[in-house]
Amino acid sequence: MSRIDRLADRATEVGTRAYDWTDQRFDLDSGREFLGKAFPAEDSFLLGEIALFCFLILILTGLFLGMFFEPSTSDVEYEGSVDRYQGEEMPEAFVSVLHITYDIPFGMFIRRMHHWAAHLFVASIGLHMLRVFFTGAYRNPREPNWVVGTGLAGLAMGAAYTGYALPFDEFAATATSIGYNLAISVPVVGDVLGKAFFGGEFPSSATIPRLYFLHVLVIPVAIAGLLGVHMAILLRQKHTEAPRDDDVPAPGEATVVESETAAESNVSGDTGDPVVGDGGVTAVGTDDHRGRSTVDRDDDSVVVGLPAFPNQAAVSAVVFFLTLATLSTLAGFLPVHNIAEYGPNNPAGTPELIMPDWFLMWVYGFLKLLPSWTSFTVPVVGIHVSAEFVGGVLMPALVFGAIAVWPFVDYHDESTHFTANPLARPWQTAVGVAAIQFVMIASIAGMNNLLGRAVGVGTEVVNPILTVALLVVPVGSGLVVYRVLRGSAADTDGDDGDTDAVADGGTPAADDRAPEVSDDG
Amino acid sequence: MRRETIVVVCLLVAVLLPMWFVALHGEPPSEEIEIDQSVTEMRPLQEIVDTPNKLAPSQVGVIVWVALFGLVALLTAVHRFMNDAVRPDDGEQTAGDAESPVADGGQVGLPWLWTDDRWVVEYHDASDAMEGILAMGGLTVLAIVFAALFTGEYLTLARTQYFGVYATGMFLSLALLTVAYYAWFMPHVEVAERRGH
Repeated sequence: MSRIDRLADRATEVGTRAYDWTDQRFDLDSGREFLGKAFPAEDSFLLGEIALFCFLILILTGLFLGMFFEPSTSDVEYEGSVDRYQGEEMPEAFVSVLHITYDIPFGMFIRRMHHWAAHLFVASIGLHMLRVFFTGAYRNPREPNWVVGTGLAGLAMGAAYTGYALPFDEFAATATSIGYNLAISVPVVGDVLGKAFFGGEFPSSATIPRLYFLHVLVIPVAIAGLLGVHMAILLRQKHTEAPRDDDVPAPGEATVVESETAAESNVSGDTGDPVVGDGGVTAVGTDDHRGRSTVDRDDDSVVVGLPAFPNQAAVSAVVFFLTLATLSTLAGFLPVHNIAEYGPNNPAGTPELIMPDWFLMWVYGFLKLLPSWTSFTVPVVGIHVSAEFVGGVLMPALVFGAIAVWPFVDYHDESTHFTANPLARPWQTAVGVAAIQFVMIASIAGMNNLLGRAVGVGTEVVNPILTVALLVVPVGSGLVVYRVLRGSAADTDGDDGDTDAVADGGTPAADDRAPEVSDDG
Repeated sequence: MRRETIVVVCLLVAVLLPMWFVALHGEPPSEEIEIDQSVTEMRPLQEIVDTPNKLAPSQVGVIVWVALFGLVALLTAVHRFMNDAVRPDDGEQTAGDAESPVADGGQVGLPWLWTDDRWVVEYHDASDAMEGILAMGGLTVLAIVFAALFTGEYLTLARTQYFGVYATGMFLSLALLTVAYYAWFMPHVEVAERRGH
């Protein structure tokens, strides 16, 4: 035995002993059950992983930024490398972010990466939810996970919002004040909310520390907790699966031991492991496993996919690296929230352009379109309900509430484990298309000043048009989608007389499922 | 593409494109930030290509969605390649084929692939082809080179755009390295698992 072989043996022995030591204390073997979990190999199922890895990157880059950030609005003299601010007294939070950006190696890159990861986090959660919605993956028994996912989407927006104000620059501080005004607009408890989340009148010396606390502790812990619940439910319920093209042959039928030697070896070994015969033939049958039948293409009591380790782990590694590559490209070449351009917060001034983050633009749109008569005072009790509350709190709450309760609107008594073809779900897909258009048009309304500038008219001209569009276009589109998909279902009905499942939004019949899904991805 | 799909996509695009058109009218160009080189030797703003100095939140929204769609498209292509590469051609072998050869005569898979409620339904051994060795070797060298450049940039001028290029190259190399390993050196295994509820 060579020296290298002896070293290898020694390393193996040490590794085995270390594993045994740990296993005795933590029962590692019980976790092996998870390692083989089946992940259906669907491309769109990876959207959730993009969101998960964005959160991980946010944590890691946030740790870097947290080492240098000062959550204080006390004025300090700037002595950094940005020429235009040298010698000025500015808020410490703003100065520390300038320091991170221009004077610390990696600083600008990591800060940009943090910002882009935050935006990609929200966007990937949104696209993930749209995938789940249109394929009906929220249906029984996955309603709880849809509700948890809705909470995650809200928290992701909250995390981004609370981080937006932290540099305390002119643009972000002004945009964040919109949130403060919405918080205090809530009847009865508005002042309490303003103090709880913003530390009192915005901006006060308590605002940045309060938002910082929410941004780096409260909300991330809440997200991590909900992510844990999300994953635990996923593990318990297992994935949905796209309709199978064919039956999946059982090992006893298609991959049974053909070599007698292998079969004998396997049975005598009685390990339950698949064994490869000497003759080079895959041998995966044992007495235990031969008893299993073929998995029918319609059998949803079984999920088929890649094992979590090693195959799905490799796929996840690719998702992780590609997500990092995307964020690196964005961070390298495109600035995001360039605070040096905006300057420190100036309570006496107002920036020329004010708008919230893009994912809150639809809320801003409600605020811009709502007429003043939506402000009123409730008789007798004298509680004032402002247009800010209706447009900025009540309507978004209704939208999020509608999303959360959707699985109970589109309720199914029977468990469903296959994803559905959106084209086979007329009214659900129609609602989805209408909802997307509603949010998009509201977002355009949030940018009504940009629209007016682009077409060369004032906002007083575009606002009525946008109001009508917000009410009419989604409804019209929904009806068109419903009519087209319903007509298609009727055609199918004429062809094979099987549209019951389609009509009620259930899983389409097996015969018309596979080709539709393969055509449309 | 089916007619119904076209209708749905057109309806969505009919609103999406105007929204993006408006959103891109964000921030006007502005002067670049001047760095006092007597204070620092870093050159974070030194550029490879000319890019905007600032972006409005609405512009950020468009960019991030384009980036997400691009990432999903790239991921889809890579994922399909990974799945196709490890499976034999249809004409040669089919899923779960009993004739799938295994080179080393060893065991298929790991103990956790087989439980009372889980079993292997498809197995194709890795090809171990020479081209895989070459691909992995080349990508390993590339990843090391980009990592070295990334580190070197930290030790010298800390230029942000260069960080971006090096980091992108490094992570792409690592992603493709994983893809190459999966495609040529990892057996393709699929399992079936009872849901149990």
